[in-house]
Amino acid sequence: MRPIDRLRIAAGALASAGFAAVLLLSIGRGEAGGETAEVIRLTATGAANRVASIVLDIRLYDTLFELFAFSVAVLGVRRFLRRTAGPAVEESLVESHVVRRAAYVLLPPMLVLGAYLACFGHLSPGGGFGGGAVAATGVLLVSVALGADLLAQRFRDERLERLEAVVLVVLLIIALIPAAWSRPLLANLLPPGQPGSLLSAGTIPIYSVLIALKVFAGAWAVVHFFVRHRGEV
Amino acid sequence: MTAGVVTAVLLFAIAALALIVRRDLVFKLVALGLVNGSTVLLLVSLPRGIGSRPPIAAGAIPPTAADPFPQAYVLAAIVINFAVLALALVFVMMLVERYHTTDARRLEALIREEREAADAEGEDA
Amino acid sequence: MSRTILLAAVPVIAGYALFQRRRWVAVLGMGLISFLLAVVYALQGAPDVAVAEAAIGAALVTFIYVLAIRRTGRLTVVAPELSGLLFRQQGELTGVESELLGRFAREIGLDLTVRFAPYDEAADTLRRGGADILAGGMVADVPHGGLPTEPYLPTRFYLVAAEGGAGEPMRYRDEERTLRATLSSRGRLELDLVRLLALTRIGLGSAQVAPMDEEAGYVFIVHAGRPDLQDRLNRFLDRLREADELRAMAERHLG
Repeated sequence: MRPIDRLRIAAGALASAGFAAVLLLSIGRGEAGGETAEVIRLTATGAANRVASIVLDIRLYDTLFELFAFSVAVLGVRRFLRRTAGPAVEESLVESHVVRRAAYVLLPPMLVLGAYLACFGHLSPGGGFGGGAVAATGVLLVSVALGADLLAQRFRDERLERLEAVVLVVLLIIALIPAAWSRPLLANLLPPGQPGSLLSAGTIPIYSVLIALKVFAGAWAVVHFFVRHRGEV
Repeated sequence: MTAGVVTAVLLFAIAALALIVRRDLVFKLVALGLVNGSTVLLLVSLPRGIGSRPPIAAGAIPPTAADPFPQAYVLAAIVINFAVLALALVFVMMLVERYHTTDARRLEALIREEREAADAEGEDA
Repeated sequence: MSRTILLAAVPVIAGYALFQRRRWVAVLGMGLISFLLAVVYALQGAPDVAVAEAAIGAALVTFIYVLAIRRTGRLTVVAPELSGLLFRQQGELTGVESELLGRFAREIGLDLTVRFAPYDEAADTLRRGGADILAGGMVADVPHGGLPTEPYLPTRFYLVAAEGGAGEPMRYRDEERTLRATLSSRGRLELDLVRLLALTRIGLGSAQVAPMDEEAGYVFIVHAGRPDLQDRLNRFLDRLREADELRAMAERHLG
């Protein structure tokens, strides 16, 4: 069995187990959410960005399963589109040199912007999803501008899968840790710190970055397979 | 924001109509995407009486800030919509590769023919 | 206030984009609406949502749709350029094949797109699935990597020998541009009628022409995975043949 298949099986099993554990262990173990608006007004979670504090702490439960849905969809795209398109290289999608140059130039700022949104999402607008998506858009730009480089990227797909799998498993582990201390799952165990500083809001920035990585990898994979697809529609 | 709610409802109606009326699968999917978008718009526009500044502040939130809860749900919805739409598009592409048409009616006919042919063979065997 | 203007534009764009004919306009409309909505969300105090909607709705979703429907609604033809059959004149595509394929495309509701390439590249493109039809004065004497249609125009082959040319004659099926050069370098070529006519127009010089016994017909080569397209094209050609239009077309373009 190839290493990538081993990874897939292991990651799939771990992730399924993780999600099942989150589901089952949440039963009767205290609130997985439901803080009132009043609490939000005070800096209960330490995050300045209240939306982030909801998405990544108070209602982290929902976010986790939404990640699950996203992962499954990406899995589906990967599985079905993997078969199409042969090894031959097709002409680049965009024939203008200006666009190609522009794509190269724009890529680093977009990646940085995505990283910024993810890391600082608890302090200013942004958050994991937006950050991951923005970074993926940067990659999309380059993928479209250089259709001919698809071959080179073929090997990257295995790395992307690995990244996705690892991130997912790490995320689930962090989510389940509080259960070891008999605390409600997904509780924010790290200190809230000083709201407004980077290292505040406990585990929120950690989740934010992990989610951004997951969304980035997933969206990149989807884009990659769509660019590769040479059938008709 | 009432304007938002009205737009959302209008958009939903138009997109839903297109989803049903247009026969081309691609238009159906685009309409579906717009239905999703209208839902997002609705959820973000509904809370009234609350302000419209971003709910971000180091201390307590001023009352002019918007309600962060609907934003949280909707963020998730946007991401899932993308993933599901991508998958739906993949299925459409697979269908087209097999039957060479994006017309829903023709597809139905072609699939039915295939199924009848397969059934007939099954009976003879 | 500006929010209301943006919001008002949304149903209008949706109404137009969803109910007109062209697919890419619908996709563009969707992307535009996503973008407008993202701006509205930003103005509404939902910046996280705005960023997510902009990056995902406006950029990613629109792009994957565009990538998916790239070859939609198009009949892609690849061919070596050949006067009389399929060539460009003053920027316009013309020729017997261009007229035939154009009418066919319109009949099945697609837009015709023609790409010119030398024969080897063209045949390869067809095989790889980069085109639906291979044209340009093809004769079904060898498998071109696809399904040949019925012939739409009869032809025969001629042996052309350049001055002092000898050696194994090659059957030339490539574009007009490189015809003369190839004749000079190879010495002897077997040409079909239209290519011979093209060569005559360029200038035979002191080459000698002798008709061969072999007769054949010009066909179109359809991508191997599209027997349905081959079938429809054949029926189309049959219909034109019965109405004697094929001959009229040939006379018009080839004289």
